Amino acid sequence: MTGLTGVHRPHVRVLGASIAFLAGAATMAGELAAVRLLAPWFGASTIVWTNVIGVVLLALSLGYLLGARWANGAAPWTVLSRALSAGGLLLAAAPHLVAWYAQWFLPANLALDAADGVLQWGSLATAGLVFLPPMVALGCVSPLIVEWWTRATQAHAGSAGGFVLAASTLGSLLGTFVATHVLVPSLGLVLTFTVAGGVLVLVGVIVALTQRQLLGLLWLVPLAGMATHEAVATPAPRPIVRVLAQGESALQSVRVVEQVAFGNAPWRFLQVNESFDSFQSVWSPTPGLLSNGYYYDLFALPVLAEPARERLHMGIIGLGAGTAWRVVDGVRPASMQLTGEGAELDPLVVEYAQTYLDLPRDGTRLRVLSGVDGRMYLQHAARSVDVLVVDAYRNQTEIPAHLATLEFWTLCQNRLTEGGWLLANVGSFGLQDPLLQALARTLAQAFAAEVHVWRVPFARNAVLIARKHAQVPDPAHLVTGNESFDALLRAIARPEMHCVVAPPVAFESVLRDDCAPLEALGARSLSRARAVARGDVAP
Amino acid sequence: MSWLVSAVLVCAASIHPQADPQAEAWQQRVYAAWTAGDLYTARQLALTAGVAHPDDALLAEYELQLAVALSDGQGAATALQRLKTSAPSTSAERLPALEAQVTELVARDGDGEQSVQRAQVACAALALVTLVLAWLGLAKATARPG
Repeated sequence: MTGLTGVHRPHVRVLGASIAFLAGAATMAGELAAVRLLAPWFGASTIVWTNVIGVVLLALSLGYLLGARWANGAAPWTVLSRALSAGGLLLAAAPHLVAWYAQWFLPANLALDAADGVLQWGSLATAGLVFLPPMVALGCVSPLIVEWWTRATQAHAGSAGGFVLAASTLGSLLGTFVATHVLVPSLGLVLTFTVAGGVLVLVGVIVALTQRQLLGLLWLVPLAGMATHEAVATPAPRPIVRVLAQGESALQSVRVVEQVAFGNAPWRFLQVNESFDSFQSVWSPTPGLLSNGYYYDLFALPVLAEPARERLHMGIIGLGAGTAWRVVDGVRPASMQLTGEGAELDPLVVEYAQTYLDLPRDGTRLRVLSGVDGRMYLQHAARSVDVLVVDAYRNQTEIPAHLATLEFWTLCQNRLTEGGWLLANVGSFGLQDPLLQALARTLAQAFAAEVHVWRVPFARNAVLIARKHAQVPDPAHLVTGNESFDALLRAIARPEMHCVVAPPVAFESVLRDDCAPLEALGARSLSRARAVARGDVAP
Repeated sequence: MSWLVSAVLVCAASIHPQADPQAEAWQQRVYAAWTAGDLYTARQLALTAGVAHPDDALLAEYELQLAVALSDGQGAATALQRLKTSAPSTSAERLPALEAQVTELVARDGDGEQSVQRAQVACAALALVTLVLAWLGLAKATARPG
């Protein structure tokens, strides 16, 4: 027996299941890559993930409804070919459209302290405008296949629906893993969308050919023009910056830039999903202290405060390009033997850092743990460390919860030797920043000791400092003999630049694995930032 | 961060504390916070001092430069007005350049808020389109063919 328009019944099953499989794969690949596409502008925080997932789910449910409506028509396979082709073309156009919309919702050079609300609403609007249409089209696919299947094979609707759902979900499974581990890292974002969209268009054309309905796809030609337009996948760097390397890892967009107009010799910066005036690592031609405005200089405190130590073993969570190591190594006394381990989650960051930013490759003094999560490193570290640096947070919006809770800081404390130091960099708008205070309270609770909060002069950062069963020195009384560092200490000694946070009385006020409302704290921090900049609120 | 360093260095290079019997203590405090890299505190001190010494030209100048460094257009406009009143002769020479700078800042002042509003309007429009399409889908999805 043949189907309604000449396709054999067994072929309908194979073709239908294959289409459902490919549509499912494209949907999940598109969803995962969508976050990556938005990340250079809006970050990849839980808020952005929530917005993208929400948009995709809304679009799919709408697509199911529309598919159900069109399934009642005389020729559902014609709609099916159009839905596949339109969805494919819109998906392929996504990189270009994201760049266009994101620039509209996130003006160039917008400072982080003016971005209150922009990340939430901007990412939602961009995700909606770019991904709602193709996902609606893809949502139509399953009900249309079920209808085609039941009409051609006389199968029960439940039976056809079960097969189609199974094939679609298996496709989604494949799309999930292939997008993250193969397509995005090897092809990049633009080509990933082109491939995913292209496959759908091809399938749509095949369906149209089987029904001799190819002319019905002509209305999609303008969409094809949009999809082949040159796409911009990341925000352009600032004019005074030269891009040395740029790539997509399995986790994020990574770029190394050189600030050619900064001082006499060029400095280099590692940027990760960066859209604001920020960076993740910095490299200066000479190791050692950087200069005003760089929080890394405060990581040299343990070495300069205890210069008589013969050995010091350092752990770095969020190694990045190894700036913390380079600063500390550059100021240590010649008599001090410095060794360390650095955990960096993204192997591409390590690769770029070793190529462009002098991150040691040999592993003799600094062991680089590439692709290792910070908490996993703490759980499996072979030996205790004298200094633990936590530099794994990005702006106010992307703080990994598992690296901010009481359980994490307790793990940190357990890994420290007696008298060991913990230093953590936190973005903040003044000492009373709610996010900074919550982190400091939690750290104090874990160490059962006072935590010192030092604001970084000329920067919107603060460093949390705690010691295991030892006192953190008072910046007003500490003299290290290093002229630049002592000048930094004098600036921090001002009452407005440092404070001490004692362990909280109320256990509820600390962040825990079970409950760490970092997104809400980050939003409050950004909301407060503008008021601080205007002088309405004390920093 | 580098924007903050650059802004402070540029501002600090252009401003030097002067002896002013009425407001010298405030000036010193603002300047000390400023040169220590604490722009936020310096700004707040300058604003507070401005209330107590509204005719002090140097404090108005501080307030203006800090507002510019922190990209606060409205604050810069207010400070510029104070500067014009407190030191008409000084400000007259630099007035065109300062006004141009402040005008640009004021224009960009609401960039963040406007972006949020644009995004909210887009989301509302999308929600409306979604509702209409859902209604269209529901209207016929349950009907039997023929």
